[in-house]
Amino acid sequence: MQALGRVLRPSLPLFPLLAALGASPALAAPKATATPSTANPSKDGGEPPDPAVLSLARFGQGIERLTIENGLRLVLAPDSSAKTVAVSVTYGVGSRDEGPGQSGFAHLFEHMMFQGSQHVAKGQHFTLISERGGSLNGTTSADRTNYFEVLPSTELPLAMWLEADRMRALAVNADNFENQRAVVKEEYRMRYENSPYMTGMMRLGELVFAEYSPYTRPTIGSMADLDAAKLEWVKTFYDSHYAPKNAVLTVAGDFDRDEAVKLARQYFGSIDKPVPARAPLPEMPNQVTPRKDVVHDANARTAGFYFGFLIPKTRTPEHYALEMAVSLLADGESSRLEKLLVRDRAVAQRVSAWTHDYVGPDELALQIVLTEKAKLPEVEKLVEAELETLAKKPAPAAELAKVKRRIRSSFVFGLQTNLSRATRLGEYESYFGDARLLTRELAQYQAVTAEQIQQALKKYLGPERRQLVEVLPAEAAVTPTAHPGAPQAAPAPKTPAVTKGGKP
Amino acid sequence: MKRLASLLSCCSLLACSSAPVPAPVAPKPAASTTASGAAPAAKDPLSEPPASGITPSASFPAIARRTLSNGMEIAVVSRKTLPIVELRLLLRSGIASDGPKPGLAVVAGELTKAGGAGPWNAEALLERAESLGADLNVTTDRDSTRISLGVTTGDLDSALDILSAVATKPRFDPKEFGKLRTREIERASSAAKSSAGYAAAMILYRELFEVPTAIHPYARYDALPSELAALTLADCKAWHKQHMTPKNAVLIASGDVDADAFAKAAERAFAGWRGEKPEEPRFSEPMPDAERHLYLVDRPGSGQAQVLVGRLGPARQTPSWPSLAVLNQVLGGGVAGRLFLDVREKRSLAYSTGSSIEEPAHSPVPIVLSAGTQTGKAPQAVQALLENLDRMGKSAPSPAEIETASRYLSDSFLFKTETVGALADMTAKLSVLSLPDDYYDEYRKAVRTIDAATAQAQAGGFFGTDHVVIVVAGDAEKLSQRLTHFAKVIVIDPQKGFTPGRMLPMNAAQPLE
Repeated sequence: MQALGRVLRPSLPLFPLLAALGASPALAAPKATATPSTANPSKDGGEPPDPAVLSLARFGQGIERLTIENGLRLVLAPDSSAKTVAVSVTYGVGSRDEGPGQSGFAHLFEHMMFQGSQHVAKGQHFTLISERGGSLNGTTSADRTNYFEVLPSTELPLAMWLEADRMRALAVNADNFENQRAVVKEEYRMRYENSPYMTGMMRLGELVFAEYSPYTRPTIGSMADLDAAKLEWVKTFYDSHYAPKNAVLTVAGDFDRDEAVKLARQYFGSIDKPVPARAPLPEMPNQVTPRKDVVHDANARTAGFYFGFLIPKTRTPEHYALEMAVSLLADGESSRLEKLLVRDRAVAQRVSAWTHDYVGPDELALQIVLTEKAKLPEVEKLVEAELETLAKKPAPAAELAKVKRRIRSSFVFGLQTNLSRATRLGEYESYFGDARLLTRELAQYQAVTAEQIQQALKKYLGPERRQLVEVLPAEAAVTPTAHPGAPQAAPAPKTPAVTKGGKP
Repeated sequence: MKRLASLLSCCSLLACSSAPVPAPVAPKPAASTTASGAAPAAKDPLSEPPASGITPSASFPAIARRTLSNGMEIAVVSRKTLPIVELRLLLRSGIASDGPKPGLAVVAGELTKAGGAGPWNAEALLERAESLGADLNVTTDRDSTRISLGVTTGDLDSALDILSAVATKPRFDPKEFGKLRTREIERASSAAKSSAGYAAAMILYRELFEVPTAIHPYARYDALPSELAALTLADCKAWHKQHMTPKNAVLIASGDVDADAFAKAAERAFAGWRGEKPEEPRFSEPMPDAERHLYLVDRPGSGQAQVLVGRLGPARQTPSWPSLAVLNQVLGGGVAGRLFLDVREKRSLAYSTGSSIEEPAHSPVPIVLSAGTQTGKAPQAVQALLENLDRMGKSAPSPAEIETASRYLSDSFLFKTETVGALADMTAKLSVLSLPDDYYDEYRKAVRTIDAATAQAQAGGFFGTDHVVIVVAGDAEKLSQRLTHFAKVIVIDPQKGFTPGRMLPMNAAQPLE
C-alpha cells in the first residue's frame, strides 16, 4: 500500500464536540492564543531534542485560533515556506446527522455546494479556482463535511470569497440536483459495486455499529435512499447545518495574519444564520453482540474476511493503545500479520488494518484478502491467535520502538503540505475544540506502553466482541446495500438486529 | 490509523488520486453572472470575485549534480524546512527492458528487496528499513525502476546503507524468489478479475503499441500470470547484473541535505559497485490497426463499465509539448476541463472522467480519455468521449480556455512542489526523459506564453477520432450488441489471458439506447 496521507492526531482533554472556543480570544482581543509550551521534546533531559518533534512544536507555536462576531471560528497557521495558501471550511455535519431514509444525503449535499451559489454560476467555482492555478475538493465523513482549496498565496481573497458565498446562500435547482444525484450514484458504483471487497467493508460497518445508530449507515448511503432524496431536503439541510456557528475556517500557508482576519470579517462577517444545536452523540453501548455475515462479491477472485470491533472514541488512552495495536499488526511489510500471512504462510495477498477515528465510539477493522488456495477458517484462526498473542505477551521493546518511529514519520511527512495542514487543523478544531492538539498528538503515541496495548486488546478485541464478514467470490454481481435485515448471528446471538437509519 | 481511515470513511466530490484535482478551461471571472438570477442591484462589493493577484515567482530549486568514481550520478535538491530527506535510487530500466520475458523487470526489481540484501535476510531487511520509520519501496514503470526511502535527517546514512545493499548486494534467496513469484501471480490474476481499470489498460496499450512483427516494449501494461510463472531466478540475476549498475543509476536526495556531504556519504555507501550502462531496448514505430476496433473486456454482472479511448500523439520530445499539455488540459485535465464539465456535470454519465497524456521516454505518447459509467450508459459514454475528442481536433479551443489551462499548468506548480518527495520524483523524471535541469521553469514559461492561434493550429494533429482504440471493461452480455454502433466489437476474457474471443461486425445503425 502506498503511503497515503500520513497523518495522525492530538492530545488529552476531551472537549465536547463542537464546544465553542470558550477560552479562545475573540477578535476584540487579537492575537492571543499563544501555544502553551509544547512538551519538551527531550523527555528526560539527557538526549538532544528530536528535530522531528521540534519541527512539530514550531508548527504548533505558529497556530492562532479566534472567533469572529458571528461565531465563525478561525484557525490560522502561517508558514511562508511554500508560496501557496490552503483554505478549508469544516462544517460540523456529516452522515451521522442524516434522518431516517436519508442515508447518503450529507454527501449528496456536499456535491450541491459546488453547483453554484448567490454570486457564482454553475461550473464557475471550478473554473475560478483552476484559472488561478488552484485545486479543490470536498469530502464527507460521518462526523463532518469539509471544503477546501489550495492556491498560489496571492489568491487567498478568492478562496475566502468563494467559501463565503456558498456559506451565505446556495443556488440550487432541479436540474443540478438530478445531475449530482446521478454523479453520486456513479461514485457509489465505482467505489463499492465495482470494487472488490468494498461491499464487505460496508457490511462490516453496519455490524460494528449495529448497536450505535449514528454510525450504522455508510456515508455513501444506499442506492434506494439516494433515489428517494428530494430537492426540498437541500434547503432544509442547508438551513439546519450550514452556518458560521457550525463551521471552522482554517487558513494555512503563506499569508499575512491581519489580512486573513480582515478578509474573514469582510466576506463572512455579515453572514448570520441561526442553526439548531447538533444532536449530542450517545455514549458507547456497554453490550456488543458478536455477529457474522457473508457477502458474495463478483469483483473478488479469492475469498477474504473482515474482523471488526467497536472501540472507544478517538483521543482516549485506550484508542491510542489500540491504534498502536493496529500498527503492530498491519502497518508495514514487517508488521505481524503481513509477515505471518503474506510472507511466511502465503495465505493472504493483502492485509490491512485501520481505525476510522470517529468522534464517537470507533471501529477497528482488519481486512484479509486470501490467496487462491487458502481456507477461510484456517486464516481466521491464525488472525485470532495473533490477537491473543498480542493480548498475552507484551510487544518487545524494539518492535514498539519501530511502530513509534513510523508514527513519528507519519506526522512529519504527513503534515508537509499546506492543504494537509489546513484540513487536519480544521478537523481538530471542529472535533475537539482546539486545532493545536494536532501538533501535540505525537507525544500521546510515544507515551503508550506495551502493557496498555495488552489491556486494550483484552478489553476490546476479544472474540466476544468481534464482528466477522466473510467475502466469497461470486460469478455475477449481487446488489450491495445497506442490509435492512438482521444479520446472521455468529456464535449464539442474543439480540441480532441491525438498527437501520434513525437518530439516536 | 489515520492514514487509511480518512480514505475509507470519506466520500468526496472528486476522485482524487493523492492530491486534489487539476483543472483547465473557461471564462474569466464573469463579473455580472448571478446564479440566483437576481438582478445585481446597486453594487455589492461581495458580488464579484476578488481580482487575481500576481502569482509569486517560484523556480524549481537548484539541482546540485555530482558523479561518483564508479560513474553513478548524484542529484541533490536542498530544502531544509523540515528535518526529512527523500531518497530515490533511479535505474533507467523499466518494463521496457523485459525483452522476451514479460514481468521480468518488476519481479527482478522487487526481488532485490524481497530476497534480502547485504547483511540482512528478507525479514531483517524490512525490519531495518521500517525501524527507521520508513517504507522501503521498489517501483517499476515503463522506463525506470526506483528504490525509495524517506527518513528523518539523522537516519540518512542508515538509509543509504539500505539502498546500497538492495541495489548492489541482493541475496537472491531462492525460497524468497519462489514466494515472490507466487505473490505476483496472485496479484496479476486478481487484478484481471477485480479491477476494471486494470483490465481495460491491459488491452489499450497492447493495441496502441501494436507492431506487426514484434512486441513493442510499451505494449505490456502488466505480465500475464502464465508469463510470470515462466520467470526464473537466473532471469532475475541476469536482469540485475545488466540493468542495476552505477552507470545506469542516478541517486537522488531531496530535503534536509547538502550536496557535498551527501556525495561523500554516497561514495562510501556505494564504493565497490561496478557495472556498465545496458543497451537500450529497440523501439519500433507502433502501427495501431488502421481499422477502428472496440475491445470489450468482459466483466460479467458488473454494474459499471470503464471506458477508455486512446490514441497516440507525438513523441515526448516534441517541441510542441507545452501546446499539447495545454490542449489536453482544455480537453480533460481537471475540474474545468471539457470532459468534467460535459460528461459529468452536464450529461451525468460519470463520477470520474478526464484525459491524460502519458510520458514514455521513447515512441509516441498515449493520449487517454476515460469515464466510468453505469453499464446501461456505456454506449453513451463512448459517444461522449468520441464527440469531445472529435471536437478538440476540429474546432479550436477558445482563448479563454487556453488561458485557464495554461495558467493552471503553470501556477499549480507551486502546490505540486510542496513536498520533498515531489521534488525527488520530479528530479527523477528529468533523468528518465533526458530533460535539462531548467526544464520545469522553461516549461512553465512556455505554457504561460502559449499563443492561442498556434495551439489551435496544432490541435488537429494531436486530437481527433481517427486511429483511436476504444476499450470498454464491462458486462459483455449486456453491451456487445449495442457497442457495434461504433466499430467491430472484439470480446476479451480477462481471466483467460486477455485473448480475443467472439467478434461482432460493426453496425452503425445499431441504436445507442
